[in-house]
Amino acid sequence: MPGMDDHELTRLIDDPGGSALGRSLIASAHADVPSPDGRARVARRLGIAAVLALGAGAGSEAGALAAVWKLAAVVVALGGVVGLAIWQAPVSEPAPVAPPRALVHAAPLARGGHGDASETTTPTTPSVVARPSVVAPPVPSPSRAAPQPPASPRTPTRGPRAGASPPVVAQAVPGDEAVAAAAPAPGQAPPTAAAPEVRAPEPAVPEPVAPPAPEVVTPPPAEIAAGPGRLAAEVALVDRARTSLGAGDYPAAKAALAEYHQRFASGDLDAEADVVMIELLIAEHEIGAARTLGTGFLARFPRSPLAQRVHSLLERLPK
Amino acid sequence: MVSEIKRFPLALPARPVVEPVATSARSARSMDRLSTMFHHHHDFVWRSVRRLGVSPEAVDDATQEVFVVASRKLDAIEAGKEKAFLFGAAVRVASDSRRARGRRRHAPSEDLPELVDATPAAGELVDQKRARELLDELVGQLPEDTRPVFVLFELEGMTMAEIASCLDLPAGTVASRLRRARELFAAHVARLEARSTQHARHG
Repeated sequence: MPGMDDHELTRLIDDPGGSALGRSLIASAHADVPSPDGRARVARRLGIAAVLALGAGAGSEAGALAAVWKLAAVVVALGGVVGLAIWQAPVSEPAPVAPPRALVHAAPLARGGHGDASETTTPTTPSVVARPSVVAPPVPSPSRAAPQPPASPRTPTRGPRAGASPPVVAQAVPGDEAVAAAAPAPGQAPPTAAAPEVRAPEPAVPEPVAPPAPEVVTPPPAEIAAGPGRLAAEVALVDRARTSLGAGDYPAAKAALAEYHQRFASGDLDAEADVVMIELLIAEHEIGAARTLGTGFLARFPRSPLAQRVHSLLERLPK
Repeated sequence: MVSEIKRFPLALPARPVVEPVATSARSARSMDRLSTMFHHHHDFVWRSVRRLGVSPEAVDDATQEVFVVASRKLDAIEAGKEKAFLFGAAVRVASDSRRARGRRRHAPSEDLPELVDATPAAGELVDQKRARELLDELVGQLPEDTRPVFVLFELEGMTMAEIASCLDLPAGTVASRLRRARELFAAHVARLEARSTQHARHG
């Protein structure tokens, strides 16, 4: 390509006449690589864990970077010889480490809604049950005040202990080798395999609930196992919700989100589903609920790429 | 899209997080393609979002986000352009992530920014972690338009022709951005070295 002769331009890391510090800094990047665990975790979330069997960590880029890696080792050594010390305060402010999503969304126990009698009696309610936050939003939730058996279809309800930081129990993640066989096709009804029954802990404050309901403990909604079909099913539901929202069909959007949360207790697109819910609430002028959910979102997903969007949405809310 | 925005009582960002797609489910073929993309380009995406400013704690989530975006756009991704698409998505995701994190980043400027205080201690080695932090800071100081070119050329080892193709930019633009980025990077490094020397002299 004219004017793009790489031979005329030596990379900084290859330029012995350049700054040793500069080469050391660039070389440091080459030691910063994804861990096999991180790669497997992301693959599992995407429902493509089976691909790992093809050769984890040995992508086609490895060869292309091999030469650079060799140079990196040399330059790192050079950096040591130079002995240029850099003593500085940490460049990036220490930000709180967000809990892994698998933990945040892990247990039905943390969601606080599955053992709720109001949900057991309204399996077909069109109301959307917003996901509870593990971290309590600073703004009191208007829907957390009291149990509302016939929850308003316009009000997102949260689990009674959404802000109480209940013990979060990591959900068992299916092994990679089992996911493909276990995954149903997109759109297929959720499997009815019995999940372990999890009772929500007793509320800290006795609630003036009426008659104790019979010992009916609703198991958490069956969840599609991780696998090739799971991400597709999640994407389809979230997209359906957003498309319906865009078309002004708010009930359909709510129904799609409700189905999403019912089918995916710890979905990989939880954050995106929540953003759609926030926008839906805004569209319906449920400003308080939108602010509550948005604030909770930012507490749960402070580093999410979607956090900026939520910030923007919250900033536009009327005071 | 415009009609969507008009329905909202509040102005929403023009770019939705989740683009509506026509298909309700992904075919097995699409899933295979996504898997192949993941297999071939995961590490590249991971490094890209990391070098473009995503913090270590958030890099897996950001990587996932890139592939989620890809999963929605599979039909629009031209064969052979997967890596370019992923990098473009990585640039946007990293940009969102940086802003969300609220990390202090100066507005891109041709002027030398005030770098972090690098108080040296002569005789100590450059710690790898510290070096990466410094690199993040220096790369983060580059103007937005030059940063991807710098990352792809200096850190990923791509040729300028590959970069032009990846970023869909004219060759001359790639060359000029790279030149500008390298000059700024070298200036930042020189300033850092000068400080180190100065501190070493004064004890």
